[in-house]
Amino acid sequence: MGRCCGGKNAGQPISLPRYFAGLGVFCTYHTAIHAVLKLAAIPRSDLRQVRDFHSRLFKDELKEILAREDINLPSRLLSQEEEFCPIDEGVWPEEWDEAPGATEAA
Amino acid sequence: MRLPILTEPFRKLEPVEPGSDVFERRGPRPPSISPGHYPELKSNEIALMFSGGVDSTATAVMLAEHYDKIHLVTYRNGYGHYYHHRTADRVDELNRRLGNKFVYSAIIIKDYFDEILVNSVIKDYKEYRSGFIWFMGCKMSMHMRSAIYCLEHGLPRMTDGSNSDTDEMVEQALLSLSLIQFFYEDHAVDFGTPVYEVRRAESRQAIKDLGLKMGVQVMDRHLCIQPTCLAGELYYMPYLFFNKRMKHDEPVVGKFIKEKAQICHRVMSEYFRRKGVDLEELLADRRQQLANTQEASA
Repeated sequence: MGRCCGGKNAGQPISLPRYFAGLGVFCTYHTAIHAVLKLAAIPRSDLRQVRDFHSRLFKDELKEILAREDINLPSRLLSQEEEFCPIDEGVWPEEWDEAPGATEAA
Repeated sequence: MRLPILTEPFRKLEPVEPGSDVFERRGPRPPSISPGHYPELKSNEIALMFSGGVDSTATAVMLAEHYDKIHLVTYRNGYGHYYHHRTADRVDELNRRLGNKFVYSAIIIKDYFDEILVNSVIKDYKEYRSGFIWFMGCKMSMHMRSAIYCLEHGLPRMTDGSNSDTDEMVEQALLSLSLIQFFYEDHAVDFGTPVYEVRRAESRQAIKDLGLKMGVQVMDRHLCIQPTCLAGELYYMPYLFFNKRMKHDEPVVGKFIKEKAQICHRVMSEYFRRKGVDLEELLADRRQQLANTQEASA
């Protein structure tokens, strides 16, 4: 994994089609491995820990991907910009004249 | 017709000697070892953790310029880790091109990996909250077995093909490599990563210049020249597809490595105990030999 395929590119923006294509491959691959592990763990009890570990990891990662956690989707960026609240630097709010906690200390 | 892509996952691995964890060897057996009779250090030989991929092949080529014999060791962890014939093919290629300087051992580390990680994987996942534990646990099993290999063969140095271009992979992060180096030091082995600062393009060119196989290039990766690790593909998929940041928090990774290094030491002691050898005595003898070598060279 080098500079062009996810390593140094972590945090770089991706397109929506790429996101959905990735999601499809991610779910398909994990589901296939999950099915194989589930079947294989029936006769081989030593694989049960591996099966359970894979299930938890798959669920946790899928949750993060669906929540677009640490994924830079342009649509996500846009919604963040809408939520951004600009501060008027010319006005100092009156309640900030005293250091926080100063009233309680007095 | 040979169809290893279909048959290898189901191939039963036979040890080269009864009770051994080595399933393929091209080169001599390790010298016999018994209390008071420990291997002599061979300063012109070195070991390399070898997969046959771009970085480890570039390391092998570089080492061939400086050492008489290079011991290539490769591992199979027993969990979706296949196609080791590719590594063996690469060793043959290297020997043809660089004059039979390479000996090769393929070793199954499933039992060690079980002890170091798999048996406690659910507990560890609850504690560390990231899938990195699988890869770091696997890599530590490999490093532990590599340390054993060096002790058995009298090799003072161990290397691998870690590279700063791929330091997002937990086992190639600078912190992990530093802690691994301390682990080797504790076992009287000098560990280094000769191509860490070499750019991948340079490594690729060095391999091309020798006329070695490059496999199928997809983006920056070269497929079909090294074993496949299904777990690795699954884990790094979000980073490949979504440019998702990896959850490798350094203090957490450091804690994991330190915890597992203790288990590795215990497994090593047990390995040598089964051969009738006390690990601490073996290490004392080795440190004495290293000190004598340093005195002689000074």
